[in-house]
Amino acid sequence: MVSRVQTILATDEHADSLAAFYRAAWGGDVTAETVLAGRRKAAAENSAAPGEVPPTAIVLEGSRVLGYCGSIPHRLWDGVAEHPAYWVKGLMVLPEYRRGPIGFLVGKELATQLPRATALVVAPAARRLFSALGYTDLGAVTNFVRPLRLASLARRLDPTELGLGLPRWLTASVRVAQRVGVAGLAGATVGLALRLAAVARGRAPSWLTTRCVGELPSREELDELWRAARTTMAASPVRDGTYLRWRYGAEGNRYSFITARDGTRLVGLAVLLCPKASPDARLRGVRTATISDIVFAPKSADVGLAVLAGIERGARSVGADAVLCTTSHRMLARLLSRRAYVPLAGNVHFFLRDVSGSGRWPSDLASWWLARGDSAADDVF
Amino acid sequence: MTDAAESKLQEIVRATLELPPDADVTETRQLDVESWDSLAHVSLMLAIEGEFGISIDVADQIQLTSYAAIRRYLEERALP
Repeated sequence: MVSRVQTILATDEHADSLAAFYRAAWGGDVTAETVLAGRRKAAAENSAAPGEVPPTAIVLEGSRVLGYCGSIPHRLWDGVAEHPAYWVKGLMVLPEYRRGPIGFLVGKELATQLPRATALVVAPAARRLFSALGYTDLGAVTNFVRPLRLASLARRLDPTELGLGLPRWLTASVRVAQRVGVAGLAGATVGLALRLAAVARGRAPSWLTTRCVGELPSREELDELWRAARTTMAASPVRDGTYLRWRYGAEGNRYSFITARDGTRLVGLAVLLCPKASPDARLRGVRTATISDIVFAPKSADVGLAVLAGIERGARSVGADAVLCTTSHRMLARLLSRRAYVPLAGNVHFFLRDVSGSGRWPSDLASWWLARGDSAADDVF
Repeated sequence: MTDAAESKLQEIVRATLELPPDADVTETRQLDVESWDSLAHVSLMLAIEGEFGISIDVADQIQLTSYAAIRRYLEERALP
């Protein structure tokens, strides 16, 4: 007997049902036509399987979509070669069907279609689900915050919420300072100290030129940068010109780009998401500029420091209180520490599943070059 | 439903949802049990299928959100 509830891959025939689901799950005025247009665009831009629509698993009851799990094509570098892969993205179940089998069913259907897939997952229930589906949890990617306007931050932050493991006497002192109104002055003093520390421990070399610009460099320049950078990376999502221009090139003025050049040669790049009030309770109301992506050869510490210094200047110029960088890579983490970034406990876990047998993936997260913008995660904390 | 089957069902529910030994399993509802999430639900259905030698349709799985509903479902199929 055929069940009235089916788990299948979505096709163009489901455009009406998908549009209704998108409206119910995420709002907006999505129509069947916009769904079809989106599928055609995704097929044309598919870097993992050119021309194919990225797989989307759905659970259908009649013509109604109860659950959904989509994918975003990308490519993974394993230190030797680039391999097609997909980010698993947008796992969603209608509220009245949550905590039932639907989430597992769409995740399982998609996993059977994707021999190599990655995911960035926050919620503990979703993490358990991905583990059950055969994904390996490589751990939480660390967030680093560089306070830029500490006087402003000191007046607003709750030190106990930051997950820094600060001594009780220190958090109590900060609270008292906030109450009596001297937190701003204290913050300004600490901010100056951080700035001096960054200059002393992470001075950017003068022979590199950094600029904050509104346009990405050319695809050829970005390709050359990626080819040079990847040689010292053990594993990373591919960040060539095609990817970077697809991901950040058509977003108007949401992003600024920091370039580092040795003479005229592009040796480093960062993509900075313009600041907005952070939704994270730990950073309440703070205007945080996010490093969505960063590319340079990990062995070139000088270039990394120059890019980070450029980021801080760029972030200050657009009114950011702080800069957020999410990274897993040990070398970038060291450079962030030298530039006075403060580590916060990460909550975004990186998952990998590869049943193709052709990749050589490191099992330690610190060997992976991951960034906030992977899987379009630069919008969430 | 025989006492043995009911006892087995209670054992499965208690173990899958990690309920305390003194919890009244017969009153268990998904709404009230935090550990009864999507993955636990799938595990529960698989365990029941394995124990009672049946296949539970997905449309039915969606409805089986309490011990009482599961028990009724098994009884309607005269199991065992």
